[in-house]
Amino acid sequence: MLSATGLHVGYGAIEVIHGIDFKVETGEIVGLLGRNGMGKTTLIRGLNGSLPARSGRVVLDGEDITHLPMHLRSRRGIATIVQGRGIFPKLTVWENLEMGRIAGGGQKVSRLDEVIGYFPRLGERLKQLAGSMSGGEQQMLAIGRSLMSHPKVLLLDEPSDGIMPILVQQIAKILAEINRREKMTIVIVEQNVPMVFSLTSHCIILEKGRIVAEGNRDDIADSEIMKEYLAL
Amino acid sequence: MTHETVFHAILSLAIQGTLITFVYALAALGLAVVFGLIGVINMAHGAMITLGAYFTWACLSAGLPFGLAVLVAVAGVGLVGLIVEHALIRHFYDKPFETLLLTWGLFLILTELIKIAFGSDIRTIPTPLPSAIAFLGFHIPEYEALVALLSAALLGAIGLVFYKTSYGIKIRALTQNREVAGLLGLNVAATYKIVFVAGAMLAGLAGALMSPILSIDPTIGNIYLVRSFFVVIVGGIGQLLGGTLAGSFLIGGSQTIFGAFSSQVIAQTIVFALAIVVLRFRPTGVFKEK
Repeated sequence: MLSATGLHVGYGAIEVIHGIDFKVETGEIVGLLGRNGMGKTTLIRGLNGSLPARSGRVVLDGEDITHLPMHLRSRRGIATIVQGRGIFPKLTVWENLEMGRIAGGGQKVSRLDEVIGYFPRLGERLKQLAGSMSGGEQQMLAIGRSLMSHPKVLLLDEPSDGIMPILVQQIAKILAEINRREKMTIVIVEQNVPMVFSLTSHCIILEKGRIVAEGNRDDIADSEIMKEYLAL
Repeated sequence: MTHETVFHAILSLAIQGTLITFVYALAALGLAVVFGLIGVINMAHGAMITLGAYFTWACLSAGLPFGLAVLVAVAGVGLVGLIVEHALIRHFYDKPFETLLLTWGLFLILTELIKIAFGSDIRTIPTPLPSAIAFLGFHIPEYEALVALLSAALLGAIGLVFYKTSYGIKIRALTQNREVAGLLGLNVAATYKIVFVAGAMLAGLAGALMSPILSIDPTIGNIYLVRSFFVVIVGGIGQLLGGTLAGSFLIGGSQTIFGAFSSQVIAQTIVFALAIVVLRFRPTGVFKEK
């Protein structure tokens, strides 16, 4: 479904991701774990096109999208929920959701009812300015807005960042439901290991821009990897 | 002085102030759109106003009716804007200082090209509506009233597009977070291009519509660049409707009021001093964002 082969990504003269091979299948959830500054966000940016690949390939459903700009990758079905949520604070909740539907052009059918089904709080706040909501509600909005674009894959960058634990659990449950109901492919970058373990058994650990471990949740949990690479 | 005379004088100032406010709003709108929405301080805005006036003059000289001349002038300045954006500006969107210098250079080049193409002699365009409207004992020039009405209608139309359409949602989202707008599928480069060309067309429209009330020479846009810049800054960057109107009133309308009690030079000095005082206490403009 989505794969990267020998992917190198960086900022200016600094290379951050050093030739990563990575694959996620349709309907699968993959957790990308690692400490701060290990390249998790950069990898996400390499996949969604907000940073160009220096070399290597990114393939979505058999199509080489390595050289497509980010807006065309989005139109192919890659939705990103950025770290810090990236909602539009001066637009209303409804306008934010609508932006998810219309930004890519075309005549996409509105999924507003389904999105509100997942996140009833958004339905109660459609006319409210998005910037006036709590962090957890903004995260729900960011996920809901992505769903409005009918994506094939969700890339989530630190969705638990700055959110109350009770809401983190709630969001994790909803993500699991979206994955189950829609066979949605999800790549989730997190430092909150329990949240990732509650969602998936397939985990990848990044260290200094390279994959140092990949495998089953239980293997990772029981090994020295947790101590060595996640400082847990 | 009787009450009637005072009332008459106040009403006269109100009418003149309203007309000049909307004329300034028209002149500033293109700059407000480009500066407020995509962050480019378009120093070539004044030259684009001048170009609009000259294109109108050229079309009228070629025998076109006034309305058609205005449309051709708007399209012509829009085309210049498109070429400039595609060849130069799009490479510098993240660099405000570079775009400032670049558009300043463009202003100089366009002004010289206008001199080469049209000469430096003053040109005049006869007003298409020479009569006046009688209103409460006043005679309001029909054409100036029409320009003020068109300016008000234009502000209203931009407000509708901005706040009531899908396109408006996209543009407002883009101004708040460009990367996320792109990640949601918006073609950011194309949207920037459209906004820049729209700003150029608005400058062309201002030049075309103001041409019958001005003496056209290659530098007429200069003074409107300065005034437009003050209008946008005092009104509040990105505040397209309320900000442009408030800024236009402060810079244009109040000049009319002060001009009633002093010379125009003193009035203009007071107005710009007032603008600086306003900016001292409200640096983000009178329409400060919440």
